Amino acid sequence: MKRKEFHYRLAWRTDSVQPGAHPSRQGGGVHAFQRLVPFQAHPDPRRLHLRASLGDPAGHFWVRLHEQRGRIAVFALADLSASMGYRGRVSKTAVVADFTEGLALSSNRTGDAMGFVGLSDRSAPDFLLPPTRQVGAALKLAERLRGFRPTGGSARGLLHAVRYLPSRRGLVFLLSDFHFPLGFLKQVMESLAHHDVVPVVLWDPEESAPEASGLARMQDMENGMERLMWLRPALRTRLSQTFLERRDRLVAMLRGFGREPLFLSGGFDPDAVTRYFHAG
Amino acid sequence: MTDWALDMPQWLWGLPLTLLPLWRLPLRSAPCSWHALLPADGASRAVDLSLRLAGAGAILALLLGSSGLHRREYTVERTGYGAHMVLLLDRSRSMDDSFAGRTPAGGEESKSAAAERLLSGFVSGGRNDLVGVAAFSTSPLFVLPLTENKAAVLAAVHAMKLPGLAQTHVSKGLAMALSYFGDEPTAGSRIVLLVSDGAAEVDPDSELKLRRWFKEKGIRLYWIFLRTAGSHGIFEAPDNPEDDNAQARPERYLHLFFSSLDIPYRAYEAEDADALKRAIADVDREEQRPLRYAERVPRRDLQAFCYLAAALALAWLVAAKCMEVAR
Repeated sequence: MKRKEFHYRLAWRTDSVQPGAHPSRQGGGVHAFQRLVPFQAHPDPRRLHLRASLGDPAGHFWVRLHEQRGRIAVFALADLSASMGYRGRVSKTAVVADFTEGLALSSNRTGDAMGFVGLSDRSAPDFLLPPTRQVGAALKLAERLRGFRPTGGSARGLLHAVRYLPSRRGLVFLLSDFHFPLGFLKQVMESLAHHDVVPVVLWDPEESAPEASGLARMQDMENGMERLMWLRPALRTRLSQTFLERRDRLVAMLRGFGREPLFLSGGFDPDAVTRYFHAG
Repeated sequence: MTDWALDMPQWLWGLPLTLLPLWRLPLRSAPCSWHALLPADGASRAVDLSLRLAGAGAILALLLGSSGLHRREYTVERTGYGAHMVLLLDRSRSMDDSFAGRTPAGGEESKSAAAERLLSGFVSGGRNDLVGVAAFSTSPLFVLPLTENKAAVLAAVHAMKLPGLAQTHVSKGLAMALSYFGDEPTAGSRIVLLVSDGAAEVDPDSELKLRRWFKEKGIRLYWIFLRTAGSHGIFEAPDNPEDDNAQARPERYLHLFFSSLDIPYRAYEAEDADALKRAIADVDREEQRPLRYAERVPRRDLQAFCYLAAALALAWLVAAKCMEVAR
């Protein structure tokens, strides 16, 4: 079986009191030194700091406080509108399922709880998995996703996603093709501002740079509108150009929300996700 | 002027079908995740439009072709120079003889052949005559009604070359020639051109009838008498008064009868082909009056064009189908 795990890390400290793998603001652990506190505040004689205690003119005892790393909840928030049923080199729902599997294994390895919310045009999710540390539940959900045919006419439901996420700040992977207006994306990102949102853009080489040439009756998967395209080298160049421009716009817009988007083109690549977190 | 019509208009019930290609393209659909990302492309839109129109046009053309689109036969009023003319041709056996009264031998030309040749030239000349053809021998032969169709007239005149039949019975022939003309008044003149090499007595019954008809219908009569060498002319009075009767000299008496009709009448005596030619040229010159006549333009079937248009449209559709993106 192909390796699907990836490593993620946070650039912020969690408030979580549960021990875990991520930097946190909680003291009392055994990791990095945080500060000196009076013995009364943290009565742990093993951490007594001799030099500070002896040098204290008032004769108070000081103890070292070390960081306790914390656990977070990671979420996969999937856009399951009809356009996510696009099958290019690989089907996009299959990529979502792959990513969910990878995230389930990775979060389990890291010790985090993992949840899943799949939304389309309604406020009620098509798929919902509350945060759990049972990796099997997420794997089962990924299996069900593979057989799922998205039909929702839009991604409006993403605006309600925050209702299914925990109140404590977590890491949210927003899996979508981002084929909706930037204004809508802005609303979604604002509603999720409480969380650390990693936008994962699922595109397919077939849609951005098709290799076929000839006549194609393009049918929009969400509103059913049809347009005839005469695919020829000139038009293919313009099509890829459009996608490049769209990519630049997405990057510029999402950078304003603190994260650059992660582009997964043509399938789920765990190393690409790892690189996203650790390189640069 | 043009008048379009259909043979089977019930096919037009299929016309709503022409809307189908306008609604849907005949290509397999390729799913596309978001239209907004497809660049606007004029060429694609042109192809789109042309395919829809080709589909609609193909169905329309097939329907029109199946329903039998044609342009109706119509008549045009034309003004020309000529006359309503009936060629009354003698088909008696003697017409097959030469002007010398013998069976033609060697380079000789029979009377009928000469008359045929010269009359053909007369008919195919630039006149706008309405010409009818009648013939007579023992009984009158209805050949061709008054028509502007020169090919038909020429064919009828050419038929003179066939061997003749029997006797000369001119009064019945005249009656038939006169029956070609209706009672309505006409703009051009009405002519009977009688070509014969002999004559016969006109019996009193026919005489009365002919007198009345010639008068009523306003006929101008030309008689080209093909005189065989040695026979009696129509103008000469016999030396012997005993011979001066209708039995002995029917030609002369027919001439006298025609002269007494009180209508424009001219007789020519042609003793050879040249004289015949001069006589015909004379008629040609004299009968050049403005004539209003109706020309019939025949029905024209347009199905072939419909099917051609449908084939072209379908060819374009098939070509487009071949250019379709395979998925």
